[in-house]
Amino acid sequence: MPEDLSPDYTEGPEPLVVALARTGDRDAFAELVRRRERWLRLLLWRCCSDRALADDLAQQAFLQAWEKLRQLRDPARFGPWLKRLAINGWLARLRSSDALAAPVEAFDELTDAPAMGRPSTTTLALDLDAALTTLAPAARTCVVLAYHEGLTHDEIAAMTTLPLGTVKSHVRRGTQRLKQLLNAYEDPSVHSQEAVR
Amino acid sequence: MSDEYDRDPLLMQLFHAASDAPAAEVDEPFVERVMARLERRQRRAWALRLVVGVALAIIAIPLQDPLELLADYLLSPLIDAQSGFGRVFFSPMSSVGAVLSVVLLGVQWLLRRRER
Repeated sequence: MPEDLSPDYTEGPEPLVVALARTGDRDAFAELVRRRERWLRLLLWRCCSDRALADDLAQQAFLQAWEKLRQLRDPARFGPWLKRLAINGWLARLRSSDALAAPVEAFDELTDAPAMGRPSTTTLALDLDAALTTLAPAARTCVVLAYHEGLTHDEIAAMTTLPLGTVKSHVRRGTQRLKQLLNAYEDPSVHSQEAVR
Repeated sequence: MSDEYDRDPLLMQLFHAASDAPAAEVDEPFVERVMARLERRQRRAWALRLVVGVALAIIAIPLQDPLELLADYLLSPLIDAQSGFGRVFFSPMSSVGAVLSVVLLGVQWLLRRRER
């Protein structure tokens, strides 16, 4: 197709691009990948603390999304639907290693506290990610879904199929642990500006 | 003080600030890897369909005679209607295959009624 006749998806609203991708338009789907890759990879990286694994999980989620796109009834719900595919992929990985079913108490003091430098906006993201690595996989997943995605306990329980009480316990303990490690950021002036990666 | 979902305000602020970094450029190599994997998967699916189709065609050769016998049996008339009118009138029940179809439709209807 001549360049001047090829469709430009970069300006279109996401539901429209999703609708086009559902017809088998690969360029439209590539645009969806462009729009969502950074957000999805960051979410998965926060859950699994492993960049290579997060990238692999994100790729698998996109591939599943392509195969199941016709099952998505509302194109406007593409983001939450993709997130569910990605988190399910991560949870399947956890289940295969029994990490999801381990009792909450088994993960107390799982790892040593990472070295934290002087808090600043430039180190905030790094310190937050380092603190998250000290949580066990199941707890980290619950904490990330609660704080990064703003899900309620019930929503997290539904997504992870963990008992509600376990989710609440993970979020509570994870919160305590993170606050312990990040207490230097309680000074509002440190994190009031945008963090720079 | 946490909110009703046990979320700490400080952590909420930190997560928000850490995620609110300046918009990075799209990682085009990552996008290309995803699309390349997608293409490979589709090619594998088509290759599998081709292999299954060829396998079925090969398997069907020795089954051709039994299948022809089955087709002849299903088409064999139950009611020997000589006249054109008779043939048309009895056509829904005039062969084994037709009777089988009616029976299967009846079973399907009954099952649907039970589901309701």
